[in-house]
Amino acid sequence: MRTLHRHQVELRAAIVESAFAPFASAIVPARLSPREQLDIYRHHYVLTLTEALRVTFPVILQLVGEACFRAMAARFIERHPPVAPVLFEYGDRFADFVDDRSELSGGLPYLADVARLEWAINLAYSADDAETIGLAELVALSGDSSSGALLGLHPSVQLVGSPYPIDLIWRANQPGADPAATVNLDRGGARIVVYRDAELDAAWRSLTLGEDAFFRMLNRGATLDEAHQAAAVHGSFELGSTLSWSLNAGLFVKLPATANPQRSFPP
Amino acid sequence: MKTPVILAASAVILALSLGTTASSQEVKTEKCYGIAKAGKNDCQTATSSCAGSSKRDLQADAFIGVPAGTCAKIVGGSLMPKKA
Amino acid sequence: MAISSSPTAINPAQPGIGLRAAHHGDVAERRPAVGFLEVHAENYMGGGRPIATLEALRRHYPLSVHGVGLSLASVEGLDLGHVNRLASLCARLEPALVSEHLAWNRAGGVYLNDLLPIPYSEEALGVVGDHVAMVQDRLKRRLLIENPSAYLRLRASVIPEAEFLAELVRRTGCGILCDVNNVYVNSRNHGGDPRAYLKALPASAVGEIHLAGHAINDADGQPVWIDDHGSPVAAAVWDLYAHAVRRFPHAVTLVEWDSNLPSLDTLTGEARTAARIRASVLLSELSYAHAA
Repeated sequence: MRTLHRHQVELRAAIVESAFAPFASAIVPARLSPREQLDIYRHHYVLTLTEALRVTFPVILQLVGEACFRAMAARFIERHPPVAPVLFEYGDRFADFVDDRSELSGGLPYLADVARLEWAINLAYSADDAETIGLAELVALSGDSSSGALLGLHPSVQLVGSPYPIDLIWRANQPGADPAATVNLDRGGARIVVYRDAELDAAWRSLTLGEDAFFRMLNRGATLDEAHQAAAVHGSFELGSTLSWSLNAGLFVKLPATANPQRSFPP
Repeated sequence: MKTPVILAASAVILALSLGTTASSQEVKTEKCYGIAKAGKNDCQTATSSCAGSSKRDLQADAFIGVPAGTCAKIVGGSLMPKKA
Repeated sequence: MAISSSPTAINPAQPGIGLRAAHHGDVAERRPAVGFLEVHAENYMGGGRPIATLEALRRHYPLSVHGVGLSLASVEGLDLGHVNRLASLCARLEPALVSEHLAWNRAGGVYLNDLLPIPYSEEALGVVGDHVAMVQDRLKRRLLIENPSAYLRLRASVIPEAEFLAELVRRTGCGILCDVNNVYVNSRNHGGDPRAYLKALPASAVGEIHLAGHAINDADGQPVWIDDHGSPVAAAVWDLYAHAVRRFPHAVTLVEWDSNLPSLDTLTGEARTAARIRASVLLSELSYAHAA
């Protein structure tokens, strides 16, 4: 008799790879053929994962249209099946997948970076909670720096950069955007910080060159002084105004003195 | 491993001076509402209702097809190589 | 702010509803009169708004945490990281009930995003029994295990499903979540008497009853009953529910709705229908007992 292991390997192959034949002999004959019965499972798998990707990448869906997105999703699911049961974590490799498909990235070179922005938004929405600090706490903390008080970025904070105007592309594809408006790629690139705001909505904001350098330095574990110096190379950088809005936006958290943060960011 | 940010003394002075720093830019913050409506794991207990209609063939061919959405609105720089 | 302890016990006379993200705002604002809220555990395993919403609601409603990702019947073993995430969620929410499925969805490290059937065999009983026991140890509480809907039957199944569940209860002390829509859908797709199925379950172990709508689709000329949770509960399922109430009078009742999500009023209307049917069944039992 078939072992449980063999059942699961074969049913997995039917669902993931459309390899229906091996499992057919495990099924009790019924009104529906084995293929029809297995199709119910295979369709459910593809349709629900496609739906999860649609929710995470609505701008990509807008950009390429329904039919193309469905085909993209089908190929992606085939290539990168989920490896965890929490579906809001599914799709981390979608942007790289878009990059690798020359029929997409060739004609629409910005597409993968738009996907990176949407993935960052998805992560920001669901990132772990952490207590943010405001100006008063920052001042108190810095006055108390001898005690080893530490400052970190909120788990929702992510930096996304692109040589394409992905900020404008994203905006042009939001509900209510002017359908006649165009986006000119010649405007050049974008530097963006994505985070979760006080109302627990995912949000993003464009960064100046100096601000981008500032957060990237902080992200690598630099001190505030070091980050300030790196940012100040870009003439327009003002530490005061940057700290002001970023504290308001809830970008900073206090870490316990013994914290050993293991955060991963794209370089 | 990343070292946490350690506050430098100079930050105190700068932070305290925030009130007098003029904001040099008007940057729009964008809210993203789309995700909030979905509970992605809800689909797992309920079988997709169209899953039973076996006519629908999800074995599409290997090509993704032609993008035909709002990408038509993205203009200029079309010959710009990736990461130029 | 008044400090009040969160409600932790569910009154079986007050059916609950499956809480879905699209209803979060409505439920928080209007606080409908339902007995409890049930959520899919995996949607709340991050931070931010979903869990914050639930933490606010748990001050007003008992909660039921319904897992979909444990893959209790996976022969390759439990994903201990996921068990830990479920344990953290339960520690945070202190739900009245925690449930999962008699199913699997992980093989070779891939999650198949479904609740897949197993052959009901001695081997499967050993695997599921070990996993249920491990999770109950980790969570330090009893799990309710739900009977799944299935679109195929396996030749290697040698134990009737209800008996399999009964044996699982004997081995692990777990409870049963009896989904009467699944019982009905399976009986239509594969035959069998749904009332006999209810009779074969160990009545004292059934802690919860699920109700949901289903669809009848056409697969190349053959009708197939699909458990899509996308419409009102069917008349035949209400009928079966009445039998379930007679058999499991202490179980709590939950209405699930997942696709084509209706207004909150429609959903709570289904819960009120369940309450009415339950009350009339128990009243008639009572008058029958008096007359006898």
